Amino acid sequence: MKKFKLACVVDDDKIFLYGIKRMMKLIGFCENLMVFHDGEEALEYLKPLIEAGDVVPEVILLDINMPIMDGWQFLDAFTHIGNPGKKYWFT
Amino acid sequence: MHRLDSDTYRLLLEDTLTGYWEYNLETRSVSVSTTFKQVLGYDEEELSDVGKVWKQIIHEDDQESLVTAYQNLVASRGETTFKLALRYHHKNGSIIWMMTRGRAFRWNGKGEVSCMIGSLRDITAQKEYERQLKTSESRFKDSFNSSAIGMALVGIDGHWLEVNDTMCKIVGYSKAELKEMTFQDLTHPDDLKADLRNVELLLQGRIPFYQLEKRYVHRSGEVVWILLSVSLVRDADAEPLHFVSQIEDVTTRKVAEEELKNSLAVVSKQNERLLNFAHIVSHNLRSHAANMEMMLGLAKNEDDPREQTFLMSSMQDINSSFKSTLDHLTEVVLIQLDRDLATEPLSLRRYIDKTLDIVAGELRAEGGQAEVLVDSGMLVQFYPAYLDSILLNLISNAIKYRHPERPPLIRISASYYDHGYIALSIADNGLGIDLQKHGHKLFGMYKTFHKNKNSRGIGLFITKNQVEALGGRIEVTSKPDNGSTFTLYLPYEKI
Repeated sequence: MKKFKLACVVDDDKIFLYGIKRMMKLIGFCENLMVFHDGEEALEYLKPLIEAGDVVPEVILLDINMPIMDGWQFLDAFTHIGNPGKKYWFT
Repeated sequence: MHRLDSDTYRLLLEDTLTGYWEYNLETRSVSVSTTFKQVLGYDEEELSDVGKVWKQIIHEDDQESLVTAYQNLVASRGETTFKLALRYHHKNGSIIWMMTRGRAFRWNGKGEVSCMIGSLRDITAQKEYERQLKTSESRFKDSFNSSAIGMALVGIDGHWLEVNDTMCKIVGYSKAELKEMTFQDLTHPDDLKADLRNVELLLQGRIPFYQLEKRYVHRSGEVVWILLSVSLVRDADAEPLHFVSQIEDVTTRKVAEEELKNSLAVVSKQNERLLNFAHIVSHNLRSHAANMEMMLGLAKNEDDPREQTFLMSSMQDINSSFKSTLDHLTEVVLIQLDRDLATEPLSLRRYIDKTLDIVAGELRAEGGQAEVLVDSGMLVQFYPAYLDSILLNLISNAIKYRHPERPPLIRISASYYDHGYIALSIADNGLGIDLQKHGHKLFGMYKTFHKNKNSRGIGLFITKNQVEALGGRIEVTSKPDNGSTFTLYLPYEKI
């Protein structure tokens, strides 16, 4: 499987994050990993990056049930950020 | 122009099948025309002396009126005339009706009537028709009166012209009372417009009849649901004469319909709760189970003792989360099941004061204040443990989510709301909630909106369940930075 340069996980469950990190390490999922605990955090960080055309994660693992800003709200806001022409994968 | 002679007259009279007669008062003789004899079924040769046999020709019961009319004519010296519908015996034994007319024709020197003439016209067919009409009318009246459905004849202006007993029973007014009223008087104000619209269409001839479910107000003031069917009777010139209305009492059916609608609403709400519950169960419990599986998997292949310890403690965390979720869900299930909780009249003021005592320390520490505008006599019909829990949740939330730039100010007030509820509002000046973003999740399980480490996201969920279990409702208004107001609608018992 191709190794991603940069992947991202958005999930509020710390235990899940621990597990997924270890599993990703095991299978060599990605070179670098971004971790956020809720949608708002993720959005605040990623928005300026995208608008500046900077390096952004190729894949984002997004949890639905999160506090403050859940998965759906994040998705809504995220898809409205500028810079078309790039494809994002959400799981 | 020359006048027709008497022979011509006679011929004309013969032709119209109107018999004529002549009575000479001086000679006391009666002469009749051929037609006279014909209509009675006699030949020319028979009935030679009508004067003698007239009592046998005319029906016994009708003789008196003829005699009286004759006497009046004579006494008035021919001023009066008569026109009577009398029964005659036809030769074949049947009875025929004849319009019998008579007038004075000649007078003697003393001004007394000396000669009378008259005519006889067969009106049997007409009389038969009248009789049939009377029978059908009385049959109609019988069915009208004995009908199990309310029936009425209503004037064009809406006045009750005729009503049957059933109609009186339906609305509680007597026939006499109804005849002084219009249908507009009886109709429930909300239903009047639709009714009048239909009446208009009916009068214009755009519809042949209409049927409507509407309400009357019974004499006692109660509302009666009826199924109304109205048609219009017009006269020979197609002008509206009156309405014919049928009124069927459908109150029991309507009440049952309303109850069914309510049950449906209750059931669909319960269904919604059930689905919601299933969601929560499947998601929350499943995530704990999945995590557990993940940790166990990693632990199996783990050699590093430090990692092992970490995994162990993680599994312990997962386990307590599991239990915690189960406890919350159980609590909710119990709230749903315990719907026959013994409620009591509770003093709202006392419970609020009690809660404020509990949070007094915390409130003081934040430099906050609480203002209570609740009448001490206000009682709510509620379950004590739930009232405690609800008030504590809402009031401690008001303190917890204070605005960093100002001390918390909590305003608690209550007023009577219609339909047997008290509206209790708890307003704060804290952080507020973006209802557009979070409104639909506010009372959900494990939903938090602020980065407060004490938010578990379960308080409002439980509160809502408790409020609704006892027939109440909870609403919120809020703006970010502008504080929130939670309003509870709680059932009450009037003292």
